[in-house]
Amino acid sequence: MEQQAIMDRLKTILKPYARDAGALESMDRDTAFIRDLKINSANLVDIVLDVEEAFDIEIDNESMEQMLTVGAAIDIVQTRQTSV
Amino acid sequence: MIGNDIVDLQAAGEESCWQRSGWLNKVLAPSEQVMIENGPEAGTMVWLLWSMKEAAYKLYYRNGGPALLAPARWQCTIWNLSGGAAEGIVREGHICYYTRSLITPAFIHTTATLHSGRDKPSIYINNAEISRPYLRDSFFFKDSRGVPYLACKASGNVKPVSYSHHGRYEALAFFGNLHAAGLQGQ
Repeated sequence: MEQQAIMDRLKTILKPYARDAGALESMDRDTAFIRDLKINSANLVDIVLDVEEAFDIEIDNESMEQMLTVGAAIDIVQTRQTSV
Repeated sequence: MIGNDIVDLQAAGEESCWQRSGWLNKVLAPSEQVMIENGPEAGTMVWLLWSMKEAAYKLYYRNGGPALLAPARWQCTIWNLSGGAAEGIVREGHICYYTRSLITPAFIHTTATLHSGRDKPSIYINNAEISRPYLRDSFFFKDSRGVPYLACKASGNVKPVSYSHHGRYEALAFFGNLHAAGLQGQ
């Protein structure tokens, strides 16, 4: 899946959790979930589960450790999709 | 140094569904999931464990640890849980964090320290005294890693503090007190 397509779908997933709508609109690979999008830390786990469902992948706890930015999330999705 | 975390139980109930399939496996170690199964109030226990992990993680991060989303790696043991209070340990690798929690029907607040000593931290939870106007003589800032401090405008004194915000609640924890540190100004 193309990076931009993943990014677009990720934006939809993040929307209900992001408290900074402007930062969400202009998000790029460096955007951090907590620092930039002001997402509550407990919701990060919900986001991981949403990403698993949306892309039909499994994210183990080791991969999840780095899932704190848009770029890291995209990389995890791409790695998991090519490994299937 | 200290880490603290506050969970607004109402906001947690509205924003997060811990009963969702897979949620607990990503947050809790197997030994902690047993505590949920055996506990009378599963929801309270989930958020107590979460706040213990978060408080310990904040101290770990403050002390230079890399940012991680790995709640199951921080493993909690609760050795005392009664009267709306809990004491326990959170282990990550070889490091132990000692935690004290306050459990109310509205929120759960936990502080984590590296020592189990008698020094009691100052804790302010939605306290008018700590509200922004009070801080006119000092200011709250974060360093490049996002670690918070309070600084006195007049004296330049800087105090490491742990700040937490969730839903209707915000909490500040630190050792010593603001007045003694000259942080309130004259």
